[in-house]
Amino acid sequence: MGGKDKPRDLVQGTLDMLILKTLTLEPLHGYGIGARITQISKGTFQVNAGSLFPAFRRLERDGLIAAEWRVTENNRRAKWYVLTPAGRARLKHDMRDWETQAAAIGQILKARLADL
Amino acid sequence: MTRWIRRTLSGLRALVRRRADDTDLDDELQQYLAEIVEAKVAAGLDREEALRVARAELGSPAAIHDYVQDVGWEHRLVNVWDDVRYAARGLKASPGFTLAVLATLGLGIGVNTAMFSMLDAVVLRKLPVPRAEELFALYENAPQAAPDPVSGSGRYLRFSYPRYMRLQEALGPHGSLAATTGTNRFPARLPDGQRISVDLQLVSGNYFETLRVQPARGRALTLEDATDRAPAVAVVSETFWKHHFSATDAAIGQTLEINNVIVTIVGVAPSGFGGVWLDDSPDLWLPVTLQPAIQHRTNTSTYGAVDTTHSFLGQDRIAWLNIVGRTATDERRLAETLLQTENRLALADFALGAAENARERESMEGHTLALESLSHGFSRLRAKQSKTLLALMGLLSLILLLTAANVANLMLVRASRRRRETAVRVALGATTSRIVAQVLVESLLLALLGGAAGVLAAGWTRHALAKQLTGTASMLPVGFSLDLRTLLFALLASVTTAIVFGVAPALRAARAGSLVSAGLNERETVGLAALRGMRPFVVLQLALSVVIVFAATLLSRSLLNLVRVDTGFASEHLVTAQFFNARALAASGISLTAVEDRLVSAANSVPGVTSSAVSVCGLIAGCSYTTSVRIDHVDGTVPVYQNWVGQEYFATVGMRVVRGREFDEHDTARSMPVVVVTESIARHYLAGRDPIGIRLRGLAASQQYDAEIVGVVADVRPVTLRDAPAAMVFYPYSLRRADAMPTAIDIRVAGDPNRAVVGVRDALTRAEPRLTFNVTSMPMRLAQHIERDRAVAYLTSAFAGLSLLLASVGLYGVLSYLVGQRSREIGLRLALGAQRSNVIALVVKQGTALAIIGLALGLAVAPLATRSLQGMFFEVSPLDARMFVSVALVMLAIAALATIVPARRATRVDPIVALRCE
Repeated sequence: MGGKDKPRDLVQGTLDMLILKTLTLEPLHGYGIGARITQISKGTFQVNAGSLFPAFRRLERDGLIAAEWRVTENNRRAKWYVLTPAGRARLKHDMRDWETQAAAIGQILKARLADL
Repeated sequence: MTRWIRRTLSGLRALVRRRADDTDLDDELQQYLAEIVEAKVAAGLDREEALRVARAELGSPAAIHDYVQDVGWEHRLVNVWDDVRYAARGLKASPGFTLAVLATLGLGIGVNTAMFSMLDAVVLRKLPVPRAEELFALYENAPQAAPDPVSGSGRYLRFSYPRYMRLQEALGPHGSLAATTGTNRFPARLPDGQRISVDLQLVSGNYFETLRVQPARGRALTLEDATDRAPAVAVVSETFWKHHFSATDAAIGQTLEINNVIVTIVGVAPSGFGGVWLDDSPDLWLPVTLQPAIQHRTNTSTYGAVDTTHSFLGQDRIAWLNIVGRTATDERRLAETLLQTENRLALADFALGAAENARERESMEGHTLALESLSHGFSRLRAKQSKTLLALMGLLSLILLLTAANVANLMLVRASRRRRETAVRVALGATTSRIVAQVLVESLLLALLGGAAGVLAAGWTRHALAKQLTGTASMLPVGFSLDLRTLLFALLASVTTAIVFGVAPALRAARAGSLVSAGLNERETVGLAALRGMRPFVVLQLALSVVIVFAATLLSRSLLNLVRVDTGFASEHLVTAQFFNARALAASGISLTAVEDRLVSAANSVPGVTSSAVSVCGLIAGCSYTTSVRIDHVDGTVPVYQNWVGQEYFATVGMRVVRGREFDEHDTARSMPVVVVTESIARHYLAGRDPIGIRLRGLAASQQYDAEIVGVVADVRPVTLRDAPAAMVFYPYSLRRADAMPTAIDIRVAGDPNRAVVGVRDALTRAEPRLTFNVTSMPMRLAQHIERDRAVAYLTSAFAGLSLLLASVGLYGVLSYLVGQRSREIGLRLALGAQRSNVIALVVKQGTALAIIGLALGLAVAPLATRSLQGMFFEVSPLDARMFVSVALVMLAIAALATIVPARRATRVDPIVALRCE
């Protein structure tokens, strides 16, 4: 229960894509994924647990990522996420979409009357 | 698509593994937290500080659980399940409320379900054959025809065999026509020698093929079976097969003896198939060509001179077959044209050659052939009762609506008591939609439990209901059962009821929720708004119960009138016996006159019997022979009922002889023919003349002789109690027409007729063991005769009582609620010195206003609403002013009762308590 305002640090709908992208590099556990996103974005995106875990569950259920319990470098049990072939395909598709949209949005934002 | 399947599966998996998934997530969060701590420690924080920061960063694990759960669709199910458990707990906590609601709903849904199963079997259900909508029946529109119990007035449903063949030929490849008789009873012998009687139909060879009925075992009848020298075969019904052949395949090839004809069983009809006569399903079907062999002679209409002892198959003047046909729907019009053309030509021929006079010819040429959909089969019950059934169903739906309105009010009151609980839930973060869903789930749960109780109630009551409505169990159609359709109906009724009574409380709960969160005083605002919401329900309830009470009053008065009606004979000391198989005796060459003598002397020898007499038709037995006679001095023909009665008949049954004499031992077959007529003939046709000595003659071929009127008896209701007293001609039994079989013997006794029944039955059976007697006292017969009227009147009165109770509870509820809501105001008024009478007036004013509006509304629509029951009224009028007054008085009395208790409670409000309450 309680208010359902989830953290909106990211552009809506991009979190899944970022998680998938992170996992193309290597399998990671939950904290690792969040930390990696923060690290690569140089601190621009802080993804909290309240957003990450539902996203993991969503991706897992759609068969885009798979999970298994392994031992971490610190010798602790952790749940590691791996990209599946379906996930790889989805990422490719989403990135193409994203690039098209970003380019279009960029054009619009840059537009001046003289160019029309 | 695959994604959708994957989501469904993963959702189901998650439901099953809910607990395991939860622990899994806990572990994962634990590990996540540990990683943060490691990172913070690595960044230089001490472990304790790191843990604190990490906890803050992670947030509430419970919230994360919730978010994760919300990912799948299955969390909605989980919510609903939680709501159901919550609702069940709430209902268990207030057993009084729950039981009251369940009892009302169970009753409401139960009677509706029982009624529906009846209505479905009789009116709604199609014949259980493939593409029933392609079926049609043929009938002839004949403006002068006598009323037919199945198809209404002015129609002939029966055709001769040659006509059937010609019509079939005319239709050609555009469809097929099959012929069937109605159901008739015959004596039969089973393979083991046991004597039974069977109900059978004679059908054309293509009957099963036309209906597209596949046999369950063996084969159906074929066209070859209905040819001249084909061996005698039969298809038996599934019920007959189960009952007499234990449902074994060995039945095929066994033989039955039917009226001395050996018939081989070739097939078993499928379960649930009982022919096209719904409430008269046979034990077996025989080819139509067996008519002469088994001597099927009943239920025929004849034109002109015919010989019924010869085979019917070649005779065009004996109509005895119903024709049912099938065409593709788009060929129906073509088929109609083809058949009508053939019929016109045939009728013209027929009229020219056969009809005796111009008038008859003209009337015959006026006949037209018509096709009518037969998708639902023939049903006497439907023809007679569909209106009654629909009217009662309508009445019951009204009661269900009333029940729902009442439950809605109860729920509103309950919700207002639970507003604190709702406020707490809202404060804890429950969304409005969750609260509304919760109330609706509670309503649905109540309704479904009520529906289950209703199905149980329907199971117990429906047979009683059906028997009450049909009078006999044997008229019940094959399809009458608590089947899937009925259960679906009960489910639908429950859900509809839940929606009707659940929406108002749900909306109110939603408003309460939003108001509480806005910090408003819910008691002052929502409470009175709810009251406004409840008032229309109560007015509606009152109006509905006015209508139902109105209907009940009309029906009860009708019943009373039927009980008190002057039958025209003296029933108190009368015993009556019916027997239906005299035809079989006559067919085997036994003299029925001798049988009559034996029966009368046997009855007279029973102690306490004063006299007895045989007749063709019994009294109020649904038996009638109508004909027309010519009377001297009267122009044209006179339509009359006729009966053939034995010596001392009038003295025996207690019909008053107002002029002349009754039949005696001198009125034999060889003496001058005499008749006795009823007063209405004398009054209408012989005004001013002395009827004694006037002669009349029949139009039927065998009755065209002069008979002298020797007596006049008081008017009598000939066939049923509802018939107006009619013109009737009594012939002596010795002049009995060959086709009119005796079916009754009436016996006058000195004492209680019910006590004489057994003695009379024994004496009659000893005298003539080949006949089966149905012996009963006349008062009992009359009671049975109006059983249906009695049942409907009782049922409606019970419904009226129920609806009155519901309406008064509704009124009571609203007023109690009003007193509760305004107790602070009332307390204040009392504290400021208001008189108790003023406080009472406040409540009474509210109650009376509601009652009067409801009453006015109800009385305005009642006469219209009860019009559909017209057929059941007997000598009453819905526009009788006394009706309005008596209904109004009853309603006002009830309203007063429902008002007094809350009004008195209002005066007992303690000002101190009321003011402190907030």
